[in-house]
Amino acid sequence: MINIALPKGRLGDKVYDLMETLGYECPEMREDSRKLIFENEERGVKYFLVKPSDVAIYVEYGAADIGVVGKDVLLESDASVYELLDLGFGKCNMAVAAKTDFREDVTRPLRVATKFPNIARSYYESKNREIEIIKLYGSIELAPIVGLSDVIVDIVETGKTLRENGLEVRETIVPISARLIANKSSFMFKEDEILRIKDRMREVVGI
Amino acid sequence: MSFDKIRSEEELYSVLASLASPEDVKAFLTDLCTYNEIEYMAQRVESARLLMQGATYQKVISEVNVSTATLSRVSKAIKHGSGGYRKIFSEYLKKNGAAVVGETEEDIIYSLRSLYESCGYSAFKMRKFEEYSLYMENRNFLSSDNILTFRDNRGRLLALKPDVTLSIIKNTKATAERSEKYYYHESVYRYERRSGEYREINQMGLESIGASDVYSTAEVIRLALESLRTVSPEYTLCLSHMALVGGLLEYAGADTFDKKRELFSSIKRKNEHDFELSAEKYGISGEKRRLLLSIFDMRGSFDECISGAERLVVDEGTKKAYEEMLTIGKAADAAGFRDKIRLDFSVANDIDYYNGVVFRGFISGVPRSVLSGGRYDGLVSKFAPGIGAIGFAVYLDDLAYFRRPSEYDVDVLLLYREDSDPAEVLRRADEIRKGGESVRVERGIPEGLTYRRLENVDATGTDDAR
Repeated sequence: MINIALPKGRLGDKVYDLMETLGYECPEMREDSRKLIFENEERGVKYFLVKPSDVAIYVEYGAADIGVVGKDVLLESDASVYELLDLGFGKCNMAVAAKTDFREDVTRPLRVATKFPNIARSYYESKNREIEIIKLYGSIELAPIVGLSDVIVDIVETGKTLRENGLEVRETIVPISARLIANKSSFMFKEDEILRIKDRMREVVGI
Repeated sequence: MSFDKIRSEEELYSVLASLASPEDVKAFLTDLCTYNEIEYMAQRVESARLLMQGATYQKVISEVNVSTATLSRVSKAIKHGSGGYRKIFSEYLKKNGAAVVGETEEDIIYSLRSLYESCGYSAFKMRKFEEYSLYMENRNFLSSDNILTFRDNRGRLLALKPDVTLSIIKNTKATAERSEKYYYHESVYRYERRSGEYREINQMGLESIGASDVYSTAEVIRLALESLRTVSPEYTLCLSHMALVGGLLEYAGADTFDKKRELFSSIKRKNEHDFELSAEKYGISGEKRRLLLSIFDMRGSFDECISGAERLVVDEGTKKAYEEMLTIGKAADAAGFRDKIRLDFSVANDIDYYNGVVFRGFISGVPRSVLSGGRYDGLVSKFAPGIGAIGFAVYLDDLAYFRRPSEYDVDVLLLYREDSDPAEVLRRADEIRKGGESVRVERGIPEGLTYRRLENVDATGTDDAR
């Protein structure tokens, strides 16, 4: 039996499609329901649908043996898990964005609004820049417009939302994509099955 | 002549004790018992063995054709019996090389202590705090920079100890020929990233200080394997060698400390894709890059991996490390641990202090590693030049995940009335305890307490469990 944590939403749907082609189907998943847990005993697989930012926690604590999660979540949580494969989809960038006419005042700390305080902190530490973190939970783009912050650190996919709000990317911190992760202890006792999934995924996504 | 129960029972015990060989026992029992009686006894013995080796009820029932009622009696006898199973039978099993699993944390601590003492390790006791400077000067050896500090009455800065090893080695008198061997059972205080709080962590471990040879490594690895076996039959010890991986990285062109550390951090996460990006960044290409990436292809048994690892030998240093791993594998193999060790390069500790074999132990069902250790000649030589040291720690708190909670808080809840005779209540409680059951004496039923059966002192008969 292998337990898999999937993020709710588009990324999770895509990964489930992939798992189906590998023979880990669970027809219930296709039904429109509010269930959070799906099992196919015959195939020896159980899926949990969780909030994307919680996937790494489910895997780190061993509730799930493996999971798929964005690199952004992994970097932010610094979870102690094995990162087995870059799935190559869900691609975007972690970036610093500001108003198009923003000019940085280097004599005072930079105010940074973000959902990713750890990523922002370690990025600016590596540049020796003093910052003040303003932790937000959504609509990050609003912060510089209304004067809450100087810049934002956020995920940028196409840049459309930024443009529509008069913002632009100033610096790219790190490229992001979906990763296959595994619990360290599960890996030791289910190595064959986990690596089979990894190898098949690698073939299918063509890396 | 009337039948004297006690005398004839004693005759039975002494004739059993006089039986010297399994053949004699078989002959005697065949005459003494019916075929069915022998079969039942054999089933109980097997059930007891499986339970003591950590099997679940379901597993015992599926392997031995035994009823739930019998199994629950066997389990009770293991827990509260007269020691027939828990002491005599488990010592017999250990003597014959079988694993016996600790039932409670105390059992595990007790077994580990006897294991370490049986190999000549002596107990090391220490204070809860140390001078902060000890940790400050050896920060990289610790898993975190966050240390709880306070000032004593003379203004010295002290710290609640986040680590035991430093306290043991700081005043060592060991030399390469005269080792010091210690084990400890202590609390350490560490910052936990996830909760953002400090935690008291209960750990047990050992240090072998002085010798830096392969024998001392093999001995400590054997003790690590036996420690894991004390906890569960499903365990594995992952081994790596810092000099093998480190030497390979240097050979491939990771010439600075930072480059090595970055590449190591990807290896630790089994993260091949980011490793490739780093290799690209540092201009490692061609044959050297392919060689490095083959680290990620190691999978399967120790034997398969170690033969695959031969191609990682690129110079004298890696050759020595490789041969050390071979010897250690052979030593583990000879003692029947072949299936329990793996070669896994994701095991890595600080590259400054750890220079030899490093290892981590896992138990099926526990999400984190429960044992971690390695050779840290680089650290100990700061305190006493020219000597080596190796050790490991067992994280007792994480083992709590693995233990089966017992079904009931207590076997018997014994109720008395205001006018009950205390002597009579105690007499009845003694009787129950002598029968191998636990008993709690109360006036009423305590909130939330679960029990196997209920008994009133002044009434006859018992009620059902709740």
